[in-house]
Amino acid sequence: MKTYLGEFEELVLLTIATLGDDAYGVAIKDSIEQRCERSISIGALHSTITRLEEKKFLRSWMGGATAERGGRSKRFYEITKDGKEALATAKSLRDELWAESKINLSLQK
Amino acid sequence: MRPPRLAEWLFNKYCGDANVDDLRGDLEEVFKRNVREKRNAKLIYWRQALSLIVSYAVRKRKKNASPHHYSAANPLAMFGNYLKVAYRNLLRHKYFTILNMAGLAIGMSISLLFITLFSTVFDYDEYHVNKNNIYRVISHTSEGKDFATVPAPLGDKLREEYPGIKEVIHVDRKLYSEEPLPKQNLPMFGYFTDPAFLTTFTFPLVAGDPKTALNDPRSVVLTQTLAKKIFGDVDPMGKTINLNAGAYQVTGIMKDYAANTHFTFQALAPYSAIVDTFHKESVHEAWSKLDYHYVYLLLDDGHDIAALQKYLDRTAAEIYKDIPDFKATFELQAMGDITPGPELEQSGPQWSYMSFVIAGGLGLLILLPACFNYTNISIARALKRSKEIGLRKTLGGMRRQIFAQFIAETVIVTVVSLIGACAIFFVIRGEFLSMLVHAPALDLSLTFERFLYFLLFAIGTGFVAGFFPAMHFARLNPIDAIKNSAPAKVFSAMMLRKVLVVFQFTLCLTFILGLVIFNKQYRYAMSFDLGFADENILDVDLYQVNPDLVTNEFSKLSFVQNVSMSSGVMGHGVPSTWTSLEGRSDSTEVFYMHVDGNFIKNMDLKLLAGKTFEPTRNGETSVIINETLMKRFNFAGPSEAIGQNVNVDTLTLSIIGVIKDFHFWQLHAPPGNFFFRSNPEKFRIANVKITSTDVQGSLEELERTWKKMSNGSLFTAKFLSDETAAAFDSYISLLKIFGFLGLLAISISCLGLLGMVVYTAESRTREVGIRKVMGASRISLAYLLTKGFLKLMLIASLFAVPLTMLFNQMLLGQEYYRVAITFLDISLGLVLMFALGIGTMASQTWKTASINPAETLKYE
Repeated sequence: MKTYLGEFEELVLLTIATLGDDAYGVAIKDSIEQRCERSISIGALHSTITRLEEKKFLRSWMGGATAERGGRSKRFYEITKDGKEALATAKSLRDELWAESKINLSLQK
Repeated sequence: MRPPRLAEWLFNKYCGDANVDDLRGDLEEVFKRNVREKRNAKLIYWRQALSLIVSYAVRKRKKNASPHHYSAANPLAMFGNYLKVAYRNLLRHKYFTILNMAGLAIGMSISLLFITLFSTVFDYDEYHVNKNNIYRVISHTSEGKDFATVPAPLGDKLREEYPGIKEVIHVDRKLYSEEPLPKQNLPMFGYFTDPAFLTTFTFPLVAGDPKTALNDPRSVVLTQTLAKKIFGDVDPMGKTINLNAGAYQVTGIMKDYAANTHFTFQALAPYSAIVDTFHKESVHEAWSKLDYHYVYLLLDDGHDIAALQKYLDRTAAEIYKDIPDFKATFELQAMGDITPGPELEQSGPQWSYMSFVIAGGLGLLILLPACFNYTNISIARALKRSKEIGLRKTLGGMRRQIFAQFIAETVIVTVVSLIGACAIFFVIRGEFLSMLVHAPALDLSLTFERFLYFLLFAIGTGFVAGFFPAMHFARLNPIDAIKNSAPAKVFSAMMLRKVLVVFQFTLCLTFILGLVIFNKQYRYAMSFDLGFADENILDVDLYQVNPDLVTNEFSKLSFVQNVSMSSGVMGHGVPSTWTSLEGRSDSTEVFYMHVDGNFIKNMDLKLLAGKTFEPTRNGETSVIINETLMKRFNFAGPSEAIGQNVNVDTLTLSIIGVIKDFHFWQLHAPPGNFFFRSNPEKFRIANVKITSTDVQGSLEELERTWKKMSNGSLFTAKFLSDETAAAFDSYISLLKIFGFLGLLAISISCLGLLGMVVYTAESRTREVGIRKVMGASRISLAYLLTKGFLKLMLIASLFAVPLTMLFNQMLLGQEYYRVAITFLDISLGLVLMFALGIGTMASQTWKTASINPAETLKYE
């Protein structure tokens, strides 16, 4: 196993993927909060993003300044090839486990 | 709306040079949206900013931005090093460490006491649920006095005319009575107040309904303790007790309330019971009296104080327009401002701001010298550590780092001293409480919260004590420091040290002189001629025994010269009332005592005119006034006053005598207005004048006689002279406080002096050795080592003498009769201080001067 991907890390990576060209701090936060109905602090989110960058799963660049942010610029994120691989590993591990489940995991009767 | 500045500043400051532009942007974006959508946007901003500050993201970015691999990594590592160096240094110089810590422990102990005191007093009245909506109305008279009381009609006027007030509560402190119990009378005091008192303030009842307990005009609510004293284990509910005006039925028992409130009472009776007495007064009279009558207001949430205050101003102007000789204005005082609060007349024993300032000042006076000792000794020993500092600086230690190191070292010393200070605090706490009038309400136990205050205080003290040495070290030039050649800067440090030493000795000498003067004042007061004879008078408490019977029975004893009756103990506090000459409206406050006809002769008081009281059965008819009151009434001479009538309460009494002034209270002021009255029902004490020299035998004889007629009441007798002496307890406690503080100041100064002398002696041993070889005598060497300090002590005495004069004026200024300071007193103080100082120094300097020079010089 290459690098372990935490639950929240996976969530952040996938959210960045869904946001496409618009993946920056607040957008990621909002998207996760909406989807999971839980509130996350900026500090926790950026800590995770920083760790993902350290693991080379993310790449980032500074965007232009916007008025609604008091003239400060955004930092955009994009998933790297390593990131995609990690996601794929995680998914395939899950699929495998789902497939081999001895009981019926389906919620429909 | 913009984000909270402090949070923003904190975040920027923390991040420093790191690249966090995008994070700031994120914060701001979220904030702007929250401003639109949520109410607590600022709070959320704070939370988000803090979450970022502690986050890994910012730490990582800071690390990336820092110029050196280590510099942002772990700021605590360096502190570890400081601690280690500090610890080693303290161990190496044990003698100085112990001197410093002892001094600081003594200095801090008294401050710990005051910290506890402050924290207790600031908790006053905090437990009332409605405290934010309760106000007291206070008065300012045109004479410039401030009263906690208001004229009685104000409450009703507010209730009728001002709509926004939920409750108006009258509190009248005149409820005072003695409940006759079989063994001895039980004095009780309390308030006449409105039923809403129980619902407005948080004083829970254990029996009875707070809403209705005081509705009936003949009902009374007692505290648990009082009820227990009166009724024992019997259920008190429904029983009756006698107050000033008739029988009252117990309708409620109050849980003993926490003493940290400005209220003091044992019983509550309905205000409606005494409201009639006010209706007898004219409007004019009622509005001119500020007589133990308080008004509290309970307002609604969101009340408008300014409007109410305006109404009060208007009312005062309107009312006093027609009253020529009395003017007052009213002011609202929030419940939280009562204790601690401004000093007000008739507020009972209170903690005013002033007493806080004095206490805090005294604490500082003791603490600062201890800090100075530390500062002094540290600077003096700076040379010994300059190599270390030079090295640190050469290796890149920055100014603020050196500064931090020495502050940290000092803080360690003060925190360790805190242990000693706590030990002293525990020892002196009990003694301190016994010296205070407010003592029962004070809880000086050590709680966790207070311990935290102590710790903070110790750290603060560390900063104060360590500031100068740390500055000094931080400024050192590394080249000079390593070469160990201290440049001119040391001179300024020397100057500072001298100033500090002078300050200490000034303080020390002021205390010594103060003690000498207080002692003299005390002796003076004790031997002062009070204008009555207190020798051989035995005061016997009457309880419920018939005064006539007592007079008859005691008079039969051979050694009893005379027996008189009185309502109180002579010279020991007297009640006051208001009186006016018949036909005149201006009333005067007058102090009084009820006595019988024998009293004047018994006490050796001098009648200037008229005669003493006749034995009477027809109630009160007459008074005997003193000279001061005679002059107040503008009589030309004693004989002119005889036969005139005065109004007292509802009575009209005729003046039958004028008496020479005597001191019925302590020596704060000359005798005030006073008269003797004679209502046999008020007699409480039999004054028995005995001639026998066999005191013990007489006492036993009296007790036997007492037992025959007393129905089992206790025999309690005290000599008046002892009681008079007891009235000077306040002097004694002042002497004690002053003496104790003086002792602390003196020991701190001596410790400091010892440290300095040890240091001087140590650093000059070689010089002393050479001088000795050249033929200097021991005495001249000892003089050489001490003369610098002697000079400083001389300068200190130049400051201390005028200072003492000033304080004497301030402290004893309220005493009308006081002693003058003489040259002898001052010399006595000076001699004491010099003896102490020289004694401290002699031990060290003599040792240094006695060392065989071969010992000190052989290593050269």
